Amino acid sequence: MPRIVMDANEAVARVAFKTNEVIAIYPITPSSPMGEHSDEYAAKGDVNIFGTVPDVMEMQSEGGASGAVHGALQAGSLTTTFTASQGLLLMIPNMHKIAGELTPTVFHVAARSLAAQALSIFGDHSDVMQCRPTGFAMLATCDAQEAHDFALIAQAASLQSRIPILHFFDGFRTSHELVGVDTLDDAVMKAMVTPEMVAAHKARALDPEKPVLRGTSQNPDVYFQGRESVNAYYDAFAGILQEQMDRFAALTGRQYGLYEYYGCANPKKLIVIMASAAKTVREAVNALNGLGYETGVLVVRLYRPFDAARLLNAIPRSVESIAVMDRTKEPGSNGEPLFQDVMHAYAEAFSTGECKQMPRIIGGRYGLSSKEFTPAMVKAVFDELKKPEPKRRFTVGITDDVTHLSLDVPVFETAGSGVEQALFYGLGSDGTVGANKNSIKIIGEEGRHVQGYFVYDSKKSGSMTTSHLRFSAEPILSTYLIDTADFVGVHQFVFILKYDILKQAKPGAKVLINAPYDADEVWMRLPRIAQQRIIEKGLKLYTVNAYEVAKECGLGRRINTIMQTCFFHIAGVIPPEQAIAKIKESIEKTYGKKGEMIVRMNFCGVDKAIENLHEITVPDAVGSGADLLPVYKLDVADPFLENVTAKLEAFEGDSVPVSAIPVDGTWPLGTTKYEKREIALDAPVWDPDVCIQCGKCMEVCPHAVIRAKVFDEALLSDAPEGFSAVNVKSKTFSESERFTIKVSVEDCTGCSLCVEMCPAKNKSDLSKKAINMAPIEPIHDAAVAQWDYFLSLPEVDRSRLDRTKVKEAQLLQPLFEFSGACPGCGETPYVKLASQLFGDRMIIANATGCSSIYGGNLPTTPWAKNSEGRGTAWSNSLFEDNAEFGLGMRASIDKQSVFARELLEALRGEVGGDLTDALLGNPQKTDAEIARQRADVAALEAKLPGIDREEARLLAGVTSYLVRKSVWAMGGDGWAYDIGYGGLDHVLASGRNINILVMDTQVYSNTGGQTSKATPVGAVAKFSAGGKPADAKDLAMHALNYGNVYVARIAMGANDAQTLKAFVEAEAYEGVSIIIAYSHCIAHGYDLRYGMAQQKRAVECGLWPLMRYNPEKVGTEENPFSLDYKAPKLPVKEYMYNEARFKMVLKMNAERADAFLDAASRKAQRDWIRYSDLAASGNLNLSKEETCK
Amino acid sequence: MQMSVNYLGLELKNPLIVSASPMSLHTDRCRALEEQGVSAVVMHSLFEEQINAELHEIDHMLFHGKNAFSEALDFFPEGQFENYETENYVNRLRALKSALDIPVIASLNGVSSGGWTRYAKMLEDAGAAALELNLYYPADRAWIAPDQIEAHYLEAIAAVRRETTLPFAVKLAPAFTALPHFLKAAEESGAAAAVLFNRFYHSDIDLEALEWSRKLYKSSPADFAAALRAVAICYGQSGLQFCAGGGVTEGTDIVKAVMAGASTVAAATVFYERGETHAAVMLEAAEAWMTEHEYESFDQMRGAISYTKAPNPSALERANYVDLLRHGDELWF
Repeated sequence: MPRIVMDANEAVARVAFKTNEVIAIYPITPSSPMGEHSDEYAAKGDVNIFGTVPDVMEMQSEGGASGAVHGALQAGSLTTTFTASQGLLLMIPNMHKIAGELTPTVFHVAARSLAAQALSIFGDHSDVMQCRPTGFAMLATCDAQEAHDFALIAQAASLQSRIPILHFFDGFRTSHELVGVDTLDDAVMKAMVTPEMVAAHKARALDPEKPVLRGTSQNPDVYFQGRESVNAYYDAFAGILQEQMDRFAALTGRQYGLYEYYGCANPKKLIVIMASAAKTVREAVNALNGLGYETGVLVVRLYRPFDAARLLNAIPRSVESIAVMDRTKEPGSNGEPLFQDVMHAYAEAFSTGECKQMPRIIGGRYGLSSKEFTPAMVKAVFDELKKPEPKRRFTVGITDDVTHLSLDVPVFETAGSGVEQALFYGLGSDGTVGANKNSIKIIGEEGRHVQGYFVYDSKKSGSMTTSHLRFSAEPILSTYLIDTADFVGVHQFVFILKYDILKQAKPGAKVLINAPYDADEVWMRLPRIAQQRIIEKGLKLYTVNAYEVAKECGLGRRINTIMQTCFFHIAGVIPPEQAIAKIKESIEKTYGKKGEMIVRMNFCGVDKAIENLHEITVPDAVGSGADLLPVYKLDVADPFLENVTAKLEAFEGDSVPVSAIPVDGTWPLGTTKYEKREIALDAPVWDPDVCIQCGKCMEVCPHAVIRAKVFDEALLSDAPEGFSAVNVKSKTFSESERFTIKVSVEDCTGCSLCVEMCPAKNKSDLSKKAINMAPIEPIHDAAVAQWDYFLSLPEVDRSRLDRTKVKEAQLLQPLFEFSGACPGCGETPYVKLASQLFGDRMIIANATGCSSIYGGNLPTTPWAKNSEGRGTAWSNSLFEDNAEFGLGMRASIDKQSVFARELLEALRGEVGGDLTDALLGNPQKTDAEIARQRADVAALEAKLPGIDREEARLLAGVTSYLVRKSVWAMGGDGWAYDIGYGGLDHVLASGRNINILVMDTQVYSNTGGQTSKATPVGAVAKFSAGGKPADAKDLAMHALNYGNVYVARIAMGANDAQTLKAFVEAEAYEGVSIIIAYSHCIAHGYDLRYGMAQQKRAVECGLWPLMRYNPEKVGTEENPFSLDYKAPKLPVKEYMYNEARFKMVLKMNAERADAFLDAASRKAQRDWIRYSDLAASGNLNLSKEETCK
Repeated sequence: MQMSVNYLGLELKNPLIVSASPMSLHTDRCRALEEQGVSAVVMHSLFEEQINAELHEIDHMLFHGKNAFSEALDFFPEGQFENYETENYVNRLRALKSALDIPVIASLNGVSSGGWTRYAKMLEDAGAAALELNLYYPADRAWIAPDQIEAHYLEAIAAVRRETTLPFAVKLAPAFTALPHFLKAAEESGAAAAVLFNRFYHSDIDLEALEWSRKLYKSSPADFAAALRAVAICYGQSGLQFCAGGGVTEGTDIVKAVMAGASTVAAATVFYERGETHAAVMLEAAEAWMTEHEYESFDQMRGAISYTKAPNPSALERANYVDLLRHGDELWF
């Protein structure tokens, strides 16, 4: 079978799909693509080696997936699943069961860090190490080829041995690294997974035709013996696995061993290691031995059952000292797992005399959360082993200046001869990564060994991507990032203005810069440091104005094929003509079926690229280039921000020492405001003459860059030139006050939601509104000066504002600003609104997902504090437990509040009756009441030190709880509808004063748009490749069933007044409140500038029924149920077919698309009948009776 | 009585054809029209904009948000797209061809000199009997001169000519400064016939939304006059054949059009309004008129009252306009 360039996720999915019958999946980074590939294969009708299409089934959580796997296995199907990190933890209970019942299966894991002081999506072995006691065998693979092969070897070994297997490889480094893989064909798979093995598995299935009982409850008399009954199977496993490896070798020529040694014949120093880093150690060992070192590496493939004898047997007897490397951390242990296992193996062998001499063994941690592990670090480890007294425990790759465990890393590079390295810096949306993936494939198909690894930054908008590409005639062992490259592609000019990119160019390297200037202007536009590097290193400089070419060819802002063509033309990795033919062939292949015009536009890009490519003659001396632009514009003296956050922003986080990092994961607020990312080309400009001061532009701005203030006219005297302000159109304010709207152009993403939402039209030019997009460059400096002055103006006194009116609520200061969410994000306007209304006394439990990423993904957070230092206290626990996490916060606050009130009552005499009554009697429903309570608390705090009573001292610690706290559990539909639904339901039933905000994007947005139970009928999403056949769950109706839960379904774009009412009412309600907010999303597939208009259509066609149910009104004359939308009048088609997720079905199957339209129409009508009936009756119980009638 | 005519190289049993309209989306109605005697069906148009919009949509589906964030490298499953507008159109063409015995003429509507003209070849391959090329370039910029627009049209005609061996007609908007001159050039660029005239969506202002709205007014008998006059003036000044359309309602309209110089007469609105059986009514009326006036064939009468042969050509000239103005009061009040 051919060599195909792919990553390990695809390599594994191909085999797992072919060798299983049932696949239970659930998305989690970085393993999601394995499930996605499987789902796509099934949707296409691909069959497995048995000739049938496997049943690929998405579950509600990894816990659910493992349960389904267990059931499917028990019922006789070959079954698998894929997961990582927290997902694997959720599978552990079932893993014990599956192993306990000696059930063959293979779980494929893209190993990833666990959430501890923080979540991390990147790779290490923290997750798989938690599975050591489950009874699963554990196999580690180093790259996509091995992962592909082991997916098959493991399947055969598990079936033969009856031991289930956890097959793992490194998240991102292996799961996402593109390499050439010699693929396995069906014949090999059939030869490995024999009919006899399958029949034996099926013979053990639960079957009423030959019934047995399995999964009993055992007692002290037999449980112990039962546990011991499996020992023989575990003893036999290593032999069986090696046997399967040997069979595999006979079929393919690729021979694997359980423990493989590489290095010189008689090494003195040895590293024992697993997974991808083993390749780097091999590379370093080769290089070091060439320098006179006597080193080797033992690659551990079989980790459980740990075969000490075979492991020791694989280690040359000459070894005197060993460093065992673990990619995990077990705080408080006597060493990490692999270290302990190796140490134990030696100790036991030594104690029994099987081993005559005990080598010195030390244990080190490396590579946590995909931290780099380089040949220089390997050298540092070997150098440590050379010392007479090496550190018994060490770390490598960081600077530990607290416990001083880290090793100093020397300058040392290995890769060089024959390996060409290229680095590319692109913008998330410009196609750089896609083009590089394509280049890797082209070069790989030419017979070269290739490697492509891609690094993304922490923002969802305007993010920088770095592509690391290697090509070589020999196999590539370097499983680490490129430090210095032969070719550097700068695909966005702004990057070279901000970062010292050419530091990474090798002497004589070729540099290609996409510059929006004429070629003869480029040199003078470069910053001084870049000019210096070019001259000093003798770099060859090329430039192309790719955006101009793209525009000419109709490619918009996609410069991928243009830059790719230039790369091939300059780099000479393969002959340029051949490369261009290949690029065109690849364009035909990729887009041929999609449309001739796309092919033609891309061909144009290829042809014009070379015409517009210029080599720049480099001057002899540095010109008057500018300094690098600041990447973090700190304007305050804050040592933490200077020494930590600013370094992270400059991509220098690896150099931050342990002492600088918070020990408990606590980080400061309000840190996005210094980023000033300047990613927009156009920004909104306010027209005060047209503005009606409605506040809608500010309300919808996802990034809080449009703000208004009302201030005294006198303050205008110091305002910068052009600072516009007008009379206030509101009786709330006096005639001497002025209104202004200002835009932070440096923070704007240019999404245009504000313009689309603005209802005010210029009466003389109806193409203009009160806010209009304009190119930033001409207005930049003035806008920045005006914004700075605007920020210096006082915030409006909250107690003056009626926060039930949109226009006044929008004068409240947002305490959620400049997030890294997608441009035009549909979630953040709701989050920001909550921060405006309650942000200074809000505590948030945030489910893992988009909102936890744009809310808390380092280096910065958009959550901010006001001038009094108050803001939102925010935390993320997990994905699945967020409602419970929030409820715990509520219980904690309630307890401390009650305690504070009890203590205050006990101190009434000393505190004074008036103050006590004021504090205990304040309802704290309005901002004015909150302000009064805070003043009274301050008065109380002033008195307490003078009261010599134990109660006073205790009260001093809890006075803050006398102020009403607003507790919120926030998250997306993946949390609320699926993985966290059980907990959510429990919280709904709790009756506690907690507010739940479900930002319903109708898919798992953060992990790339997988189906959730909120996904509407007819929508294409991952795991619903043909369109979702079933309706979304009606979560509002479920919550309504409780009767005492405040329920609102809202859509800001359809009815912002209703949205505001819902937030205010929900927060005021002294019980559980749930708000389900329609959140348009990039995963819906359209230009999000029209997001709010789509929300309106969703409501008008009846697919998103707006409603509120307020239990406070039960028993009053008011109807507790508010139906906030009208009978559907817009055809569902006019909503659905504006979005790719629905329209894709039309492209795939018109009949199915029609059926989906019909189903959606019926749902809209059904919901209208159901909800209007509830509204008519007002009372939920009555409604049921009415319905029965 | 010889009712048959030749149009675009096709032997049609009479001059009455179904004009480009949504009628071609309904096989049963086309079949009924065939039974009622129409001699060909022109399909609804495949629009350049439709093709482009779809491609951009696909482009968005394929690329938007891709490879930008480590947890979400894309947002949609890889789909096998098949149901393209162009494919649907071709399938419709094939379905009509298999259901009907009369010729099916495909219609392509575009204006740019881009690759859309290649679809002409695709329609030929799919079995179209002939093509109708609908040209319309909105003259909406002060710096675009009329001759530039005409040159643009001619380039498009030439491009289509290069793509297909099928005979094709150009369908034009009424707004031409020198229509006979242009049609002569169109013939030289490769057109075989002209369809006069195209109908547009009508724009209106929504006074509540304060934005433009679109409306489609169906053709009315009054519209027919423009086509009739244009055919009469242009006939014989080039080798082009003519199809008169817009507001055709009665059998006598067929006679008038052919007398003015048309080879065919295209109608659709009237069939929506009066049903398919009206086609037979029209043909019977035309035949009755011919019998009554002793015409033996349509070929015999074609162009008999065209501009150069009319007994009173002044009726088509400025003098006629002056005369009407002079008697305006009588006409209007």
